[in-house]
Amino acid sequence: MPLRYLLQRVGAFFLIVWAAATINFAVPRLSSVDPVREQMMQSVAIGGSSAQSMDEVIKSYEKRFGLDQPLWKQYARYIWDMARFDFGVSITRFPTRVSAMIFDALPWTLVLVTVSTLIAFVLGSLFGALLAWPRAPKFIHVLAPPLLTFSAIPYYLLGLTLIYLFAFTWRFFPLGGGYDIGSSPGWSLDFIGQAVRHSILPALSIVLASMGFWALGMRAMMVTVQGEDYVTLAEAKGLKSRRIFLRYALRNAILPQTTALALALGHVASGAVLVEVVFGYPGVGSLLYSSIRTFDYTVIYGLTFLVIVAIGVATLILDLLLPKLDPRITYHRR
Amino acid sequence: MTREDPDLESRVLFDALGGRVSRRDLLKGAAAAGLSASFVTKLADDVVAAGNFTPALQADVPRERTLIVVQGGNNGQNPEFNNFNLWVTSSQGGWHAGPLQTMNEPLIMFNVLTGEHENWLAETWEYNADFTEITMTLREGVEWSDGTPFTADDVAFTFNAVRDRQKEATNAAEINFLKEAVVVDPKTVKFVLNEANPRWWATTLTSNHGVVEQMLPKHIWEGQDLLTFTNYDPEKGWPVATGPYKLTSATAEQKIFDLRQDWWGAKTGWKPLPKVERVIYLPNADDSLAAQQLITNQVDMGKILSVPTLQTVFAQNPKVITYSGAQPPYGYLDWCPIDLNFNCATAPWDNAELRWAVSHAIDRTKLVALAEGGAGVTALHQFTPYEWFTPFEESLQPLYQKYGLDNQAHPEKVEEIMTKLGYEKNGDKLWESGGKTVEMNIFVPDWLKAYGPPLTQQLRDAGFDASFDTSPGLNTPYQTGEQALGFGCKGPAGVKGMDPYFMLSIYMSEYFRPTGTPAPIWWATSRWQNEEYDAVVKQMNSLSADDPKTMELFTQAMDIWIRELPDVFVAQLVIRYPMSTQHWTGWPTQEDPYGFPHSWQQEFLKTIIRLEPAS
Repeated sequence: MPLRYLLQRVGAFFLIVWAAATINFAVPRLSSVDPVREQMMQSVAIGGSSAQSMDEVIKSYEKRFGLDQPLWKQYARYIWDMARFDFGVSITRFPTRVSAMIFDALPWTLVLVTVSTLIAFVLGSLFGALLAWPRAPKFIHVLAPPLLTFSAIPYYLLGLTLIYLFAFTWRFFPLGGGYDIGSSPGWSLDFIGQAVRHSILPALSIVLASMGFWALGMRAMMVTVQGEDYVTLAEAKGLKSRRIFLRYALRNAILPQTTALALALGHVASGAVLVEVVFGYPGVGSLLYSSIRTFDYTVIYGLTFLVIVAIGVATLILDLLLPKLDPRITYHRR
Repeated sequence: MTREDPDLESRVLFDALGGRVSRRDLLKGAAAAGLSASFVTKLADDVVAAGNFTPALQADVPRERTLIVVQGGNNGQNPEFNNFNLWVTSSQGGWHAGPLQTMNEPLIMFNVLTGEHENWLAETWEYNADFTEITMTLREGVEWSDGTPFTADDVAFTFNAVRDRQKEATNAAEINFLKEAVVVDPKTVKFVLNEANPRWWATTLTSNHGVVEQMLPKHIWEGQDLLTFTNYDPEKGWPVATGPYKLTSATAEQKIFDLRQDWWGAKTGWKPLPKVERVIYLPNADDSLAAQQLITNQVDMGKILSVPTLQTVFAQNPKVITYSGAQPPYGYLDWCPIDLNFNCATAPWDNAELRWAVSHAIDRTKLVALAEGGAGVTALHQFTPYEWFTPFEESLQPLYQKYGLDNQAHPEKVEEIMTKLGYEKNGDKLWESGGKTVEMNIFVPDWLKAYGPPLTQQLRDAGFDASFDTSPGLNTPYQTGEQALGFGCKGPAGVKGMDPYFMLSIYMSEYFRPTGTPAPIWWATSRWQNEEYDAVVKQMNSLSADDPKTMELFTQAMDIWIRELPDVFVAQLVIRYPMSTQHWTGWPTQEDPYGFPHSWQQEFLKTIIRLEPAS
């Protein structure tokens, strides 16, 4: 791999991360909402326990968070903190550290979303490939309409339906959460079993809703690939249908899917927000949702930055690996 | 652990992630692995702060001896779970969601619904003659959960510590009246006030709100920063409190509290040991999940629900009740009547006649029926009709007659006032003057959104160019007055001393701030000033509620208030908590209002102690 190409890609990575981080800083500030005041008001509105002088309390918190500083100073401090992955302290859950909150939520999301994304990718791609394959079993075509219909239903709606049927009506699965009521997290088999049981419905909603996406993409690529000369040649050589499907058609058609998969995995860090919210799942998506609701800038910054970096890294890896995977892509400018 | 172990580093991290090691073990192991000190310290802090480290649960407690309550957080998560400090912003989902009701005990327990109080950690207390000092004697035998005796030192330390940081601390209401809490002897503490305050006992020494919501063990809090100390270290047995339960586990998904067999209250024979062996606080979820949890008996006390959702729950699970059973209003009246707030310092709302026209445009009976599913209660003023308020309410009847304040709409009076003010109806049947309609863009917060459509429709029917906006971003301009009209509630009506003084005082000029500057206290958003009113209410400041002069001054003040109508009140706030009798009986009800059935409030401890197993 030429050094120039590597430097260009790494440079682009840092540029993208910096630009996205800057937007991340600016967007919440476009709102007229004062996050500290908002939090104070919610506290008072819930409890009626007025601070003696709310304004003074608000000022003391703004000072603590540096919100009393000029914007450029806030920005400089923000960029410096982000560069060191120091996300500071939550505004609304003061004095909890943002990194602690993310640290707590991330494993749940990584497991749930990564596993379900991979399952959806494998099943969806295989299903899409078979849909386009003339010698595929007939039942594949029967399954197509319902499965593709699921892909048109938003995650959360599918989630609510699954909860109603499998958790509320038939009580096969729990109504929500990451583990049983009364349990304490740990690495015991019992707890892992609970976590798996609690993740089945959220995972199912992600798999059902996204399988169609992978299937449609794969089907389109398979149709194109089937017209290629090398497939015709393989057929003319009398190779077995199974071999042509797997080695000639599927292998070539899956390349664009792999690119999409890498990008999808980059998004894993942001969680499946709506699914996590519907199922009360203790992941990053739920954390992001509640932080946006409460204008918790520092948590929003931390999570968004994490997502930016994750997607940036996924893209960088793809940029570096794709020429290896696909000879048609080159490191050199033509 | 030795450095020869090739998997040491990954195991340390794995164990840390899994919550299987303490902070100390993590530091030791990681140091052996050669990880950098700063990285390890930060990781250790984060792991402990994240709450992954929790002690093992006690032996399993059967479901029928477990009380499961929903409170705090949202969407099934409570990110504030690891905060055990009342004085910081995260205390709403932290200390207030579970620890307060199970671990903390107040000096005096207060029942806002009945006005009764019960001395708790305090045995006796009394004011001096001029209401500038309170001398309190503490109960014998009270102990912290770590076995240390609870003394006057702890009480004085708590009050003085909060007084010293009152400008930065939340939940420190009325502490500014405290000059000094003085230890007289180990069982006696004297509160010396800055000025006479006959209602300070109720506002600050009781379970209502404020300082006694977290009594601080001096031997733990001394030397800690009141505003950053999380008070959470399971290894050390923190948090330490005097109440009948101890924290067993805390995660974003649930907090678990187990019964202390050595609770001082039972040991001394003062109270029976509660039958509830374990209390679990689950975070709030959306309404549909909350209803499903109740229907399937997975929780014993749900979150506050709307009338239609409650009716669905009743239909599918007859074991679920509310404070008023399965009958309207499906709950109890809270201390926060709902109002349409005007910025009275901004035109055209600085005109009392226009405010009256708006009041006449509203049919409160219909509005409340529509918004509250036919189970609401109307309001004409800032007070909640608790029993103690009955004589005051009677004194208001002549004023209602005098000014024509009632629950019905009076279109003819709207017409009369608006015509007098120079308005005419345009082609859209909206009042107009100088080419401008009376624009009313009303901020309606999410929790009151059911009021938005019927309220604006009634106002439009009466000729006002009304609309509503539920954007949460309007909360801040509402407080600064830049959002001139807002729907909300005002209180605490009745919590502050069972006399009408506080709810009159929020309209005094001392709380007035110009538009653009936030109100100094949450409730004082009307920006209305009246010298005559100030003079009357000021006289009430140093009078106790039972002083005969209080009633006279109250009537005078309300005469001015109703005449000027700085606020249009429309409804009482009904708190509708569903409670399941599947596993527990003895919930507070309107037939037996021994406690305040609010799982966010300190008084809920009384309910927990009183509950009996259903089987």
